Amino acid sequence: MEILRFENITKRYGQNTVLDHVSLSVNEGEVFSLLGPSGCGKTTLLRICGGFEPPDEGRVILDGVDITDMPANRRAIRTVFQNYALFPHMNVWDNVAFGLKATGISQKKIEEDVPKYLDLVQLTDYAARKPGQLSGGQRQRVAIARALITKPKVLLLDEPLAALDLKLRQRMLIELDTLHDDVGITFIFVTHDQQEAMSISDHIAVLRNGEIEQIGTPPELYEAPRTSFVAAFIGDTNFFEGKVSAINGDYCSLNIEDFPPLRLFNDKKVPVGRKVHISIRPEKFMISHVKPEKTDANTNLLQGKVEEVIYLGSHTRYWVRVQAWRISVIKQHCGYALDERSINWGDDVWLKFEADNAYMLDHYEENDENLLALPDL
Amino acid sequence: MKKSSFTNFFLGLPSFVWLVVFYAFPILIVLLLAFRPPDSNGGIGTGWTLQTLRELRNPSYPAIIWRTFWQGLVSTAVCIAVAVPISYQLSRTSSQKLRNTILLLIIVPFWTNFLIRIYAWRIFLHPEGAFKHLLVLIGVIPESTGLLYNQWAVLTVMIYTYIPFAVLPIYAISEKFDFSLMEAAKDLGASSFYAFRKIYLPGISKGIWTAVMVVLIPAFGAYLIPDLVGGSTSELIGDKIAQRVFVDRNLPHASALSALLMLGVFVPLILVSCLRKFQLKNQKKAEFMK
Repeated sequence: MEILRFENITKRYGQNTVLDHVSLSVNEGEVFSLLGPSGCGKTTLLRICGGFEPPDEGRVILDGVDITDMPANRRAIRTVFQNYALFPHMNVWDNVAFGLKATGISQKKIEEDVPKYLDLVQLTDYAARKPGQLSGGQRQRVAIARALITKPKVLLLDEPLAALDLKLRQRMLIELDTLHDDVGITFIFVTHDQQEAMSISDHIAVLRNGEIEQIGTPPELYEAPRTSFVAAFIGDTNFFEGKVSAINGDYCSLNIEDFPPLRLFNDKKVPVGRKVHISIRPEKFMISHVKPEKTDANTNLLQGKVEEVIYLGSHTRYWVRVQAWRISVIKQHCGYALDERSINWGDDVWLKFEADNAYMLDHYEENDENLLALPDL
Repeated sequence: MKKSSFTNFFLGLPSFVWLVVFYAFPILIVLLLAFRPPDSNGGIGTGWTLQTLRELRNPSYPAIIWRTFWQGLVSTAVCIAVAVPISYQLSRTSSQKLRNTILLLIIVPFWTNFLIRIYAWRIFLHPEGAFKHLLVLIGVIPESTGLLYNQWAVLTVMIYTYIPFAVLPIYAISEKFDFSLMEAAKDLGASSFYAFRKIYLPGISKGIWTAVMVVLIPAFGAYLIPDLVGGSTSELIGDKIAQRVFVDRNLPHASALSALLMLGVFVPLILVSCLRKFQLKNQKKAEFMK
């Protein structure tokens, strides 16, 4: 069920359009991420949602009610700020109790609720500490408890992990996930880190330059990116440009320069003669010394030379030169890697991928290739 | 450790000597003078006496002391009540240029001599002045009401004089205040006024305390302002001290009055600071008990 909806939100600062007709819908109880590079408008969207900035156009609907003009303190929405914004002159207890006191909740109810929420974020022993005496992770938990105690319909989290170091970030991510399961409140999570977004979200909206590139579940975004930006921003990939030369039912033949004709799943129903861009994830390729058997018409084979090898324990990354193309390949080590014949720099290899594993893009921009992690060869 | 405390001693020595020579000594002299008899030439007599202290029971003094006390408190309170919103708005002003301009406007009067500014007020509030005529013309006050030479004139000019002293320390703290805390408070459901009271005011409390000190102390000792814009019914202790020195030539009596004023300023200050310490201690204790 829908809890929050943005309708055609537009925001400009002078000549600069920060958000351009953004519409999206968030379901009750889910974790929804706004993902994008810095300057994409995700924080502005969050501030509009929290009531700190009015949109120039469009509406915000919370639980069926238009809250576009409602002041921040009357919205059933709470924010965990990036710097946590804890009140420095109050101890943890008073920080957590603030939202209740401010809205005139009785002292009895406050004394009842605060320990519950301190317990929820495991800070019972720290009730008397001032924010200055807490670690980064503890401060964040205070900020979360302080927001949750007022029982909001939606909790906004603005880059909540950005201020923490890597180890703590991973732990807090798991804690956030557990917390979300415990309280069942809708979380809207703003981040520029695709791994964070992928691991915690039910749905992700990828933003870029104030526009939504794509909304979907993490696997949808990964497996079926609509644009080259989404494909390159989330995970790693290979882009190819080719021309459709023939159509066989749901599949088509694609002519890519220097390659033998490849067979692809034609889910976009592209007609013969049209140029398309495709994205193939590195792990979709099978790499081997011996030529694999072509089991059916949907199997594609390419021959190339290994240019770079990076061994990473669970898997190895290869960059394979096929004529003018350099293809990024990941091989998972499912077996005992020491028993296998290792693939080394300079080896001639075969790449195999299935027709269903390539994805046609709606929109391609050459600049997006810069987002890919390519070695300088 | 030893060396650094040794260095610190020498570094602190000049200001220590300065304080002793120019503050502690004079205060001590003033206090001692209160116990000497005056002589007929306006100098100090020989021997020690408690006579001057007994003379402090002058029946006109309680009214003057009371007036000094409440005028000091009211002008301090008004100055702070004006300075806080100014500082709040000023530190929220995003344009650095506008900020500097307003600050300059607050400071500019300092460039004019204090006396000249008070004389300007005398002209402004004069019975034959344009302001008075305007008020009478639009019927705000009757012709018979005087704007000058009463305690309200004294209070007005005192507030005018001390407002910049209140604005500067409060603004200095307010400028460093993290206004995202106000957003956080509103986000948690607080009204603007509640957030102002519970988050902003505690946040700038240091600046407010400084402002209280720098306004209250000179306000208690003010004598030029009541002397120039006040009348015979609006004298403050400062006037009396000046009178005893310049008119009566009775230095011991002036010293006794000064000592009284000093006690009147320092005792409350010490009480307040003790109270704050006590509060802090209690708070810590309460935290410990929790």
